[in-house]
Amino acid sequence: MKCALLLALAACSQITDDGTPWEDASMGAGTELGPPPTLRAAPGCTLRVASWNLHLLDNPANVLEHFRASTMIANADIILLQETAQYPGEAQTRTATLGTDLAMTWAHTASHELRSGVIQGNAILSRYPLENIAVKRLPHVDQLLSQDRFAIAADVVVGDHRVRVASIHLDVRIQITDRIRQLDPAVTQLDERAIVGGDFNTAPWQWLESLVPLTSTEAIVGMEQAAVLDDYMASRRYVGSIPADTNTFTLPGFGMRLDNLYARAVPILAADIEYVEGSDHWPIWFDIDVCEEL
Amino acid sequence: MRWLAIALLSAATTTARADDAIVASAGEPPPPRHLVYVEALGKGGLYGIGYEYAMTERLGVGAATSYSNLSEHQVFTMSPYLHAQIFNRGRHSLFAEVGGILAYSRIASPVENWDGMSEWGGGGFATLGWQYVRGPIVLRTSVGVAVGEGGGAPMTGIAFGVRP
Repeated sequence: MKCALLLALAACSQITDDGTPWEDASMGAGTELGPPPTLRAAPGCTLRVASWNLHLLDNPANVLEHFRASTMIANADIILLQETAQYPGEAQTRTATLGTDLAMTWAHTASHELRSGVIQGNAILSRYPLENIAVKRLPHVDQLLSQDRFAIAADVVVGDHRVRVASIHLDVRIQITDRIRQLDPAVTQLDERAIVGGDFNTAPWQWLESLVPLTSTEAIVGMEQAAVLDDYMASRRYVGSIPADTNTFTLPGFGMRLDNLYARAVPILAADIEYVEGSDHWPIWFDIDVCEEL
Repeated sequence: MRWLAIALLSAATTTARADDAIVASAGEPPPPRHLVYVEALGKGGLYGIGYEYAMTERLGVGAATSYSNLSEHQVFTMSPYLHAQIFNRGRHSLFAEVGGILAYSRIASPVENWDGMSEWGGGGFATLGWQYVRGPIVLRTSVGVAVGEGGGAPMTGIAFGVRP
């Protein structure tokens, strides 16, 4: 009834299904796998993992240029990408362009086709072999301009060690409770030893029907979605790397941490943001010790 | 904030004149001092109710409270405030308000094995608004800023009230 009354104003936001289980990527369409990586050196124990939403980087040359301009991100062993696109008429995805240029392998899954014909996706780029690649459609949040959201996961094989890695992109303009509902099946159904990263879209506010941010409420209480998400992830034994009050959104005047990298049962050695231009997100990274287990 | 404080102080001091206080002219009933209203998006909450007492024609004190529950995220607010009319012409007036906000936020867990979160917060607000009065009916809309533990943020509100 409430939804019906508010329909004229905006669409009501609600979870309408449970998504899918993690599904073997080789069984489904829309997943692209790169050739084996060209290993440059014997694997060590320190693994650098980065995450970057490539929104606004609409030119393949631009994507490469910005990656080459970085230091911490360009040297990452694993890069989790969100909104990595393929434009109409292009032979390959941004993921393939980057993977080829950086001599990495990749697993890419298409997630959403825009009206312009651009196909967006999530991906994992890796300097080490990827195995057991799986894709999961996350629980659908029915709201204004809603779209399906996906996660992609793979085992990264580093010599004798392996760690499960997932790249995730959650909905925008939803309540933190719906955000946790959307994320929970993906992070709980992973191996114990896991890395989860991506764009969690944790804008700090409550949302009135996915349309009006309640900015003053957040200003008074100071209970940002990013901090709540970290608390929830801690209940799943994940340790976050980027503090909740850090800004990963590039638009001036909007301090919000939309992105993060979490590790479970793997020690985090260092973490930070690198201020690389191009997208409306700053890329983030952390170093983990893949030889140690917590 | 500074200009608003000056405006309020100015309004308060001008209301100190005896001829400007709430007094009835000979043969007329005294103007009502009480205002009750409902409000949307004001004073830190999504929707709430308020009461205001006019100490003078231009200066009043009030309090508003709100409660909302959006997708199992509950927010309760209580806001005492000072209201001052800055400029008045006919049924229309420009007003300013400053006050404090006490808020309690509780997020119920939507999943198993997580307890959810709850937190108290406090802060203040300052707004500038327009008021329209017709008989006992009062309509107000305002814009301003709220400042608290989460920093500063713009706020807006619309209120509909009666002076019984």
